[in-house]
Amino acid sequence: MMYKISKNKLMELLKRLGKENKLIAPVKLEKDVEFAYVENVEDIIFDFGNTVKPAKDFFLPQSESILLFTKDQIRANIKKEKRVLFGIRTCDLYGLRAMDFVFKDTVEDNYYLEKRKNTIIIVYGCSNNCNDNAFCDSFFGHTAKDNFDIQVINIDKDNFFVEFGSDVGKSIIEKNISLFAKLNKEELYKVDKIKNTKINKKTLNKDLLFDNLNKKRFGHVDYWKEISKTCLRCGACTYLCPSCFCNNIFDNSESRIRRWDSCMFRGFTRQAGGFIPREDLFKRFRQRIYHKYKWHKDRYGIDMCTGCGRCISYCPGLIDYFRIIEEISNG
Amino acid sequence: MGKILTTCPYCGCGCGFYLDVVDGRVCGVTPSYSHPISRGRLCIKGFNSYEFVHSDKRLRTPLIKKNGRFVKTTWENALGIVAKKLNEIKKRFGPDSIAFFSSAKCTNEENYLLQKFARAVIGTNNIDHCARLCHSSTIAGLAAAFGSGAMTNSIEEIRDAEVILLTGSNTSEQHPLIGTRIIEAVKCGAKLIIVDPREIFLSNVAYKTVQQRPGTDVAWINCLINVIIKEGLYDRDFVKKRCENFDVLKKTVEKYKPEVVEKITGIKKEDLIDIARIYGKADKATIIYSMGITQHTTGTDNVLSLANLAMLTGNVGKESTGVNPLRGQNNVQGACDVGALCDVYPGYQKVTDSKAKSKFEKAWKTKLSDRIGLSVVEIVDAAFNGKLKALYIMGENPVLSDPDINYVEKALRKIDFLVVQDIFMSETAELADVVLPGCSFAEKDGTYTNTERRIQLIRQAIKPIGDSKEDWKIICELSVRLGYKMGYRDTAEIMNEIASLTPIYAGVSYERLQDFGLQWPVRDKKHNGIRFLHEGSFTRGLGLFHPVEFKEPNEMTNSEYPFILTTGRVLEQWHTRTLTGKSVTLNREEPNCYVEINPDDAKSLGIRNGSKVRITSRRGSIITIAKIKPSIKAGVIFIPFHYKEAAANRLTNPALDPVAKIPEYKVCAVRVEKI
Repeated sequence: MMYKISKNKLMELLKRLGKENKLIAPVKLEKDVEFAYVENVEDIIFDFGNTVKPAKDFFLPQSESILLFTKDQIRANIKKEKRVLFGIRTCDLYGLRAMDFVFKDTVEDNYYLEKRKNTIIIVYGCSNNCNDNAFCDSFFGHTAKDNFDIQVINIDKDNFFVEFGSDVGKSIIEKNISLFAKLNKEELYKVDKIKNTKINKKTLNKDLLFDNLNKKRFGHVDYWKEISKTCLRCGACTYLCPSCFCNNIFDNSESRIRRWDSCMFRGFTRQAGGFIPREDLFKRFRQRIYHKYKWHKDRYGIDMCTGCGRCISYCPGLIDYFRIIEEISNG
Repeated sequence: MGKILTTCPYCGCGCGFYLDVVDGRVCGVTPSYSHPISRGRLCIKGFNSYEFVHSDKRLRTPLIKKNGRFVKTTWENALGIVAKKLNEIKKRFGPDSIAFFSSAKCTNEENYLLQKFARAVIGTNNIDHCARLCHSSTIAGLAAAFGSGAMTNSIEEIRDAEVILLTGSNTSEQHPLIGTRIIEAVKCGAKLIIVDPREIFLSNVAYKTVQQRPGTDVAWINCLINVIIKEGLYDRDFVKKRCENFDVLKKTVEKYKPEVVEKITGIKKEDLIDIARIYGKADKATIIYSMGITQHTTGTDNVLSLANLAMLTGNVGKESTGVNPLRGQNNVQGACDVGALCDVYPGYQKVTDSKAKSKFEKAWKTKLSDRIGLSVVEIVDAAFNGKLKALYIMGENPVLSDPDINYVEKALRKIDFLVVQDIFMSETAELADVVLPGCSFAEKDGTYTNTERRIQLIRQAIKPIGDSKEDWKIICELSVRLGYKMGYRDTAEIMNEIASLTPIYAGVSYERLQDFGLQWPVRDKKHNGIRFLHEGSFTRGLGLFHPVEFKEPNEMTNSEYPFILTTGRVLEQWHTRTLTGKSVTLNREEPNCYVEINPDDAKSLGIRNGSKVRITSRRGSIITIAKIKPSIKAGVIFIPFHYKEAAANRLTNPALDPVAKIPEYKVCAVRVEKI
């Protein structure tokens, strides 16, 4: 079923949900809009491009203590607090989806899975292109088709289209039905148009990209050297990617810590004796592209990239990822 | 989760980001999209700048040394001991027997208070800090040529330069987000010319990289000037109207012909002419430089030469041009601005200037000394000679970062009373009698001034760890115990005082800094700062050409020491690794020292990649691992200076530039042996 809600009533809904859940949403910080725990629903920003830091931070935190050490015991620090994540965009949502497979693969990682289980997802389907670098339509689209509890889509200045995608979402709407209204035909048509009209400036054929990332291209060393020649090894493309999940685990005296790591760092695969399999920068760069656009899909059957464009927007080496994968997809 | 907007504690780019706080701990970083320098980007250090904050190794209580070992104590006791000892030594040996190292990592407010303490409470001008070791030649040189010793233009403007002359700066490793602007400029068609003994990462996008023999910079710069004048490429109008002393310069450079300079520097004469023409013909050419120019016995001369070159071609005082020294530390510019230097008060007002002295005597309500104090290396000498009885070090690690550290360690061991205020037990703190735990950038308020003169706020995200204190509070509490009240309510109040005494900071207040800071000079409360300097007229009026002659470095190679050692940095480590050594992600990248050797040199020495080698200079010896790199000039070796296990500064030469007193880190003579 599909509904409509005004902005004020949506804020009321979030306020109500905030009573029994910790509410996470994009809020105005000192100068920027980023995801944070919300004290006041008035602080929530609805209409803006996208955050720099992806929502994955709330499921796989940049740094988290997974084991706590006290004098006589080691305790697993699995957070089970009930949360509502509002305002996650489609790109970040499908980034989580790509990661779900990894954290269920072979060993179930409860540090991640419990957070997923205990978080109600209200996805903000985009109606406008967030910035020039986004190419989400070439992957999962700008509005979500599944994997959410509730989806809201801004249809005009004051109104949002709402649909549920799970029993949890359905139950929330039903419990608060007085906040919602029915959509008229015109509004339904508008939503349909928003969902089906491509909005990005950039588009790509991901299947061609997948096919063209073959063994032969892997060996084109000069090409990989050329395109990675301004990479400053900052880690941004992996840190800010909604689906990158690689992490490092180490201990200090109080806890075992899991921290974001990056395949772009030299030390990432340093082995005993100091040997580094991907000592050269171009090898790490090449590995990242292959993993993101081919190997993850080979392994789990789902695309890993969601076209958020952050790797392009925030690369200090000004590497145009899109141009690279576009080039490859065109052979 | 709280997210607090602050400024990076590492380099002089001054990127802004939010510290993520969960349950009272700093656990991550969120980039700031609107920040004018970072714009949502960061380097690996920025992304991981929080890593060291909660380290096990943080100093959490004051310590005093008893029988050679450190014992925990209370602030009452520790500060009481420090006050008592300083008082005793001052009474017995005079104020000038005490010296202070201030910190380019600490805030402007803290640096201001420490120099005020040194001057008003102790009565000495013996306060200095690591700027002496990095850009004191910049300050001396540019102050003489232009009247102001700071980066003339802004980071953002680099993007629109047509020609970038980059020398002695491994920008993408040391100032990554400035490296970004250089890359952007090149993508927009700019020509990047690199003059450096090593091919650097940015050589990937350079029009040309030429490798000079270390220490020959005056020669190649004078040669460029020679060619530009000879081919009539200089800006006659600018030279006539905006500068003075051109004729002397013209005469001086006559002998620096390309074929002569090729022999001195090793740069081919065709390249010298090409570079001169490109720089000379450009409408907007910018010079970007760093340690490769400044850390020489001819550092001041090198800077004066660059100033000559820029003035000659009218590339000062307009957008996307200028002479741009990249200040290294997050707040080394600020520490200089607020007077943590032995010869100037806040705002570069000389201690020997009676008018300035009166002004500060009035403001601080006490008599001040008019004797220029000792600079960093001179302080170490005075310690060695027994003239210095007490040394108070805040946030610096000279036992690893000064030149000739075997000597430094001996000198510091001789001092009667050594106090170190730091956040970790650094190699210098190990030698102290009293250790006072300060706190990190995440635990206090204050301001940092970045390389483009931008004064920015840092904001407290968590309370000081353990029993550590904000560094400014420590100084205040010490001061009151010596009978001089420093009763500031908060750091904003300290900045108000700085503004009242420092013309270039006159219009600064915390309210006015809320919008990503202001670039000085901020003339008054209505003025919004200045992006680029010397528009219309230089700070001193006319730009002054200085005739500069080439001089060889202090220590030349010979048969016993046939290689030139030059030192520098790696991207992921910061200086003496006090912070990055405790950061898991950062330290993992390049945890060990190495020496870069040219393949031909390696071959003749029988060295392979990974060979253990011993490097020896007249002052010391270290053992490290060789890395064969074609990018380094033959006859030259390079060692990053971060590692105490193989400390490059055991080898370096403390010979000083006579004007700036900066040591010649970039050139000394060594021999290399396979072991």
